[in-house]
Amino acid sequence: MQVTPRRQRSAFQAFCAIVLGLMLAGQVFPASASSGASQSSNSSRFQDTVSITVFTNVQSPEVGPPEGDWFWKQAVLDELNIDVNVQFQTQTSEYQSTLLTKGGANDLPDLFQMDLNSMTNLNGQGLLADWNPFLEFMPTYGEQNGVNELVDVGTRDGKMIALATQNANPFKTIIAIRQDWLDKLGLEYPKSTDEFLAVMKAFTEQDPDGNGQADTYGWSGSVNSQGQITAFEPIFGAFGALGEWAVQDNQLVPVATTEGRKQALEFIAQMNAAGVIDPDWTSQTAEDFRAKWKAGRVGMFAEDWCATLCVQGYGEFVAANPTGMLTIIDPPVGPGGLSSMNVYTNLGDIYGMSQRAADDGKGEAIARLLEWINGAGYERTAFGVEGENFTRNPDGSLLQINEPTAIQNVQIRGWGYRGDEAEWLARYGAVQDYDNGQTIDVYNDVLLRAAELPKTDTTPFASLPPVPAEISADYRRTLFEGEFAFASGQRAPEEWDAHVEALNAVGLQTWVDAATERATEIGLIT
Amino acid sequence: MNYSAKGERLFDGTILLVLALLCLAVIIPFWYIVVMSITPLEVWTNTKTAFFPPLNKITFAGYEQLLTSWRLPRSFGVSVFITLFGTTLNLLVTMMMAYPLSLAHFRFRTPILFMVLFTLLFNGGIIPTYILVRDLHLMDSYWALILPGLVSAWNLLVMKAFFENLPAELRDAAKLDGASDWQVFWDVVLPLSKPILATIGLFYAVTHWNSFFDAILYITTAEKQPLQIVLRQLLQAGNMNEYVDMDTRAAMPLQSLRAAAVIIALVPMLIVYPFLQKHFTKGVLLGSIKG
Repeated sequence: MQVTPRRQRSAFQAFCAIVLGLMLAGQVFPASASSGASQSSNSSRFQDTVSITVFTNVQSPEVGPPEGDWFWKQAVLDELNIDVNVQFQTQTSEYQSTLLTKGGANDLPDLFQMDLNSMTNLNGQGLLADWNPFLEFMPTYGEQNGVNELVDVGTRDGKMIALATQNANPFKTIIAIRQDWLDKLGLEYPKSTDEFLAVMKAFTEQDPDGNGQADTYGWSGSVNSQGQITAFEPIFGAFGALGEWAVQDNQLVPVATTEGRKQALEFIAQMNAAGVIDPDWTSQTAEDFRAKWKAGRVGMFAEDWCATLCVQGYGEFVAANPTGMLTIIDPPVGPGGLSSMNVYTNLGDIYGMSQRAADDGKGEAIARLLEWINGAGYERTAFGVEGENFTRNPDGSLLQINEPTAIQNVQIRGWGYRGDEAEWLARYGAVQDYDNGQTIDVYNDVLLRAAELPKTDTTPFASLPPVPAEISADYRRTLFEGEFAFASGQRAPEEWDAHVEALNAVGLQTWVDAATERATEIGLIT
Repeated sequence: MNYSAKGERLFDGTILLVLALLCLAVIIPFWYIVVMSITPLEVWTNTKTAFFPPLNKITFAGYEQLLTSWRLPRSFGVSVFITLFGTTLNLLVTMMMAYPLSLAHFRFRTPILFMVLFTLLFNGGIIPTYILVRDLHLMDSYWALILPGLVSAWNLLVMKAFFENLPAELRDAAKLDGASDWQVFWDVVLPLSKPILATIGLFYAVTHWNSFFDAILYITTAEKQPLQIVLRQLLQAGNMNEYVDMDTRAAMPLQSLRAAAVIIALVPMLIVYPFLQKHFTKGVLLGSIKG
């Protein structure tokens, strides 16, 4: 058959069009329909199905979000007639940026977690709804999650734009010390900062592991991706220099500029000059730091207690150090008698409701969902299904199953956690024997010990504004670089005033003014 | 003469030394990760620097653990699918667009090229792209990882330049023999374009394989997450005690499992590169020279 050039071109164009058409036709997952719905007067179940989108972090990033036929979603549908579409963010570090992208596209989910920076940003765009009209539908939730105590955190101009809840996680930072090294060298637990320095020196110079090599250190630390020094919090605590804010003489003062902060950095520089800190601390990451103490190179360190003494971390430590033994000690007491392990805030998760959801009449359903999570749905939210996600002890207490599939099904458990003893026992109640002869009861020996350590409560400052976005990058860079230079001895203490001036030059005073205004507003200062 | 030869030898030797050092700078970290992934904990900690672990001690327990879990193999399959399918579509559409744009007599060549160049200089940005993907109902779909970057303006221009360098006489001869546009394109142009297809294909494939942030934004279902998402989760997880079984935990340090995950993610690209290398170099050069 003869084909003309025009027809040849048409066939060619048609082929291109078909290919593009096929690709565009391949879309899946149409947007779910949403509806405001009337609710039966005598139960919390809605007569018509209400669709709600929820955006949240997963609790355990390494196992991923639940799969399609998730029991929790079905339970909410069965009992409340709410069709919840939970969108999990598996990259916790990208959660806030993803949320802000959705906000920028006016595509906020109906209900979501957020931090204070995102709250400020989204509120500036008018995207956050007022929770006040819906609190009556969640009375138990408000009571049991400390909403009333933290109301200032989420209230702006009389509107409760965020539901601030209490922290359900236990205090987690400890100082661990090599008990076997202390015993070998005949040393006592250090108490003051000077005693800490002396023990660090002994751990560094007296070959506590007995291998004949100078390969041990008294302390170690790391620098995070922003250049901030980490794992020195107890030193700052000994000089009363933890957290962002302090109230001195009825004035709000940034801790970064206080005399205590300067003295703490001087002490770290002193440790550095004495050679008792692992020399890699100025460049290593938190993972490198963790690998060092697990390999048995570090005598004392500040760490998360579960990373140190739960089965994963401690199992690795014991495998590498068959006779090694770690013990928790109190943080050092500074020259002024101060001592603090780290900061702790009673502010936990903050929840937002989109204005669009409220406008669509979903506010009541969202409130009732939270009430259900706290009440009838508590066990299923926080622990999952008995036999699959947790077991029940003879005394009725629960024990979480730490299998990947079991954990995957309770990725929303943080929404249900209340922070009581039963929860902590369920999560950390395991008792583990190790090859070094040690038996660790994580709840009694570790969690409760950590809970009693002195700490700095920053809850009163929780409702102060975060660093303004326009100065945040410059301020943090100047602060972290400056502190690193003082701690590592690259800058002399005499240059402290210049450091504070540099912080002011990048806009610190702007932040102080905004925070002072807010502190006065909530009665923190008068 | 001797002086010159000696100088040349010295110059060559210096170049070789520098290149050897550069090679080592690349190979040593890679070897370190490989060794870490197969070294059991007691060897790693006792020998301090297990750069050459004893052969009778190495173990693949970390790989076994990761590959028998549901998540990593699944995400690996997703990435392979997106890379193969996405790259095929990328090449198909890019070459079908580049070819007409390379023909001087194509009427709309200038305005279309202007539009292409405009997107090269001015990007819509993350939020407009998000809105577009959402409004096309592509959220949580593999298409969201493929369609927004279906044609890279840069790759299109490189391919167009390559097509322009092909002798026009070949096309004319084919036309005289009665070949259609499609036949000219398929039977004459494409067989001569293997270097550029390999080069641009590799560019696209690497982009798909490394796809990360778009997957974070658009993919919410666990089963659809690509490898890079899962890999980053493994690398970031502070405590993997909820992911690995007790037996493996006792044998392998956390770093070994992470290193094994990195190697698993690297292998496909390592396999592909040597086969495409000769085309890759040739394609880049050909596409960059006009006239």
